[in-house]
Amino acid sequence: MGPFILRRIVYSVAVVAGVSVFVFLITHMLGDPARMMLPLESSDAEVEAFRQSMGFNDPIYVQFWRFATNAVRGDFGDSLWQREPAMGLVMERLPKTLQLVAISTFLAVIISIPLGVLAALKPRSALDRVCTVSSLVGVSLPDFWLGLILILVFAVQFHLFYTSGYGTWKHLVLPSLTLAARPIGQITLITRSAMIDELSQQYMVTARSKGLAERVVVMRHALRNALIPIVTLSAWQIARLISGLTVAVETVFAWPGVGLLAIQAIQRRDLPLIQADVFVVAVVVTLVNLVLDVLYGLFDPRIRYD
Amino acid sequence: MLRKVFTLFSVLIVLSMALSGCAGKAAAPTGEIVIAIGGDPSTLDPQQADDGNERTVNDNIYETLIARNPKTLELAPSLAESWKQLDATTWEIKVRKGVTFHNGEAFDAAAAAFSINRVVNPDFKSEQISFFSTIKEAKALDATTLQVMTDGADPTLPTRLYWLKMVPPKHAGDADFGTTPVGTGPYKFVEWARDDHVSLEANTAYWGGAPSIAKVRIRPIKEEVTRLAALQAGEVNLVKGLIPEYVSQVPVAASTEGLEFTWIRLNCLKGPLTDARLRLAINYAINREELAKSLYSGYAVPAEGQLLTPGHFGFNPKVKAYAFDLAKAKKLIADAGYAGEELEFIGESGRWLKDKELIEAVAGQLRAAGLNVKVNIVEWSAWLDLLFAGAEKAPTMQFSAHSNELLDADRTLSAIYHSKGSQAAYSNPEVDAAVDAARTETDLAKRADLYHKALQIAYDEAAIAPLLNLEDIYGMSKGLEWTPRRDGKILVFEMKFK
Repeated sequence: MGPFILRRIVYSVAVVAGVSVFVFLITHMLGDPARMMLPLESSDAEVEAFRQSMGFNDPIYVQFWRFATNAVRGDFGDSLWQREPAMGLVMERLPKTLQLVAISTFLAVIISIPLGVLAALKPRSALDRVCTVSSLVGVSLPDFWLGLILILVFAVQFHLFYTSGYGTWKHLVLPSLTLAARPIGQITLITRSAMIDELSQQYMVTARSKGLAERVVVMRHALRNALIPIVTLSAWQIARLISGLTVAVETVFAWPGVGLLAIQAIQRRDLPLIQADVFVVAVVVTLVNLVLDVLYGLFDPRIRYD
Repeated sequence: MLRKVFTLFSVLIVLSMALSGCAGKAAAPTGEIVIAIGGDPSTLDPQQADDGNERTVNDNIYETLIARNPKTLELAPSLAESWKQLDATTWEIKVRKGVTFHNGEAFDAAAAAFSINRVVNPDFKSEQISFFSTIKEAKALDATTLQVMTDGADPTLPTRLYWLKMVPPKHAGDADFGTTPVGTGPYKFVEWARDDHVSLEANTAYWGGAPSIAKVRIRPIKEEVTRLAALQAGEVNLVKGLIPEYVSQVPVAASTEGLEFTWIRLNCLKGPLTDARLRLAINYAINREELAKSLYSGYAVPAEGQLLTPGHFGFNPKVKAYAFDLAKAKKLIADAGYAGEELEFIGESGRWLKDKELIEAVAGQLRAAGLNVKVNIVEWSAWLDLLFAGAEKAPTMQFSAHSNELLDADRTLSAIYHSKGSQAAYSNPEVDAAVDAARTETDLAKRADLYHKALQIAYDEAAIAPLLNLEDIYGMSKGLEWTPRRDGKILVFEMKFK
């Protein structure tokens, strides 16, 4: 286990470093940040002076060296847009995004696993059809659109929750639901099919013939064995949520997280902020993956790490 | 069917959640105004960024020496009581007595001189520097007398000062000045939660009298539909930048002519449009009234034959909008011997309201006149590169938008009409001479004449194709009394609840 974790940490560092280098190269090929930031009416001399003061005139390898040596210390420079250390701006927003992701994942798990199990117990029943169809809808609805519909119905029409912003649980409900829609759909479907698989196995007959209660058969035997695909998919969903799905939802709900920050940084060509944002997100995603790899072993002793 | 099932599904989930809590209506604001804007301020240092979101907040906290009348846009005293030009490069300004910053620092001529010198200092790297590039330095002669020296004669100095906010000399040196603004204005800073809100409270000791609204909360909501929803749900009282389609859906809508113009840069120096007849034909072939009506539901007006409004110094009242005249356009095209050469029309998408639709509609009108226009929508950075690449690389036609907040013709003419302008693709020595002379002409009547002349020449030669002046539209909650300002400033001091 020890060497395995060590190896995974080395891989994770390599992934984060690779992502950072890639982002540096991409953002430096996107055009002239000085022109992007100054008013359209600025004269060429003003733009040139600004470019010089920001170091945009240095050769790309000089800029890269400066970037790399500072980045290893967690210093991505000041945001060009908000004029504060970029790393601090990202870290300030990270807990808010994680909060959203945590609640959405929680919602997804507590809603979809029972639904999937119920659907699997009575395949082709009316309940199964409702679960399957609504899961498919949840998977395929654009979150942007779903978010707006939820706002119009529950905030504008019925005043149950807030349209946007951050602060109370009433701010949290609609964005979490929007973000949870896709994972709910996917986890319900995978739970359903994994459970149907397990329930048709021979050991089910054995368990029942031993006289075990149906609840125990389903929960302790079938569901436990079905958990591996469910956990895999849930983990993948969490990584996807953190790495980008929050962008649309945070924009629609004016939720002050790293997704909204990323989109504003990109629109303003704020190179340090884009780099810091991508770096932090990459770190979180690789961490989540690392933790889940370790968790697999706990769910399934057949998985070995040598 | 799918939708219905899903809606039912969502309703069930939400209802079950709502039952566990006590969800209720958002409380109606009492003495607090909530304003939704398009994005978070870049900083709250009023001298650093060129950013409309920062201005919306700081216009309520800080003040300038010189203000503008909200209706006529004429210069008016603010922290300055009077100003006069002593000689070509020296101005003398008398500042208001007895004004203090919110933290107790005194506002006097020394503080004013400090504020001016701070923003023009090259080491400060202000993004606003292009507004103040002619200012050399300022010094206080005594507590109320300020002298401002310019680099060469600059008759536009007072219009520049309308943009220059006064900062407290002591606190401005603190590291946290950009997040804890302190001004002399009607509202005091309380709190800034990034990307969520900025809160202000009334400055009851304000020299201009106490404001009517006690608290202000400014919220960045990037998504237009969400801003609209927040207004409809009663969570905000004022929404900036409403799109015309939503006007019928808000409790109260108010609009005013804005300062932003859409226009087409025509390459007068290279390619088919070197023939002025074709450029005139383009201008006559565009039906601006129709564009304003169909695309902007009437919340836009045809631009005059210049990129200025009557509120701008140097506006030429004789230069009217090119009237739509298809027959005349067709005749000019025939006279020019146009043989169907392709006219590339570069545009971008998403930066300005309905920009792409406008470009396509204009291209359609030009095609109807017989011009072979090919629209090419490019990515923003590519669009910027083309705009500033100089006439050699400039496309035949390029869509753009221009806004001149200083309200003085110099900024517009220097950038667009002067052959050395950063966005120019037009050259006429007479226009250049007039713009150059006006920049240092201190006799206001003569200076206005110079601009009138330059604009008339550029109009006759169709140097550019002005399109529309978009109106600023605001959505307001019932009970809020306010008339939007033409300079786009949102001053809560001018608002009250019925």
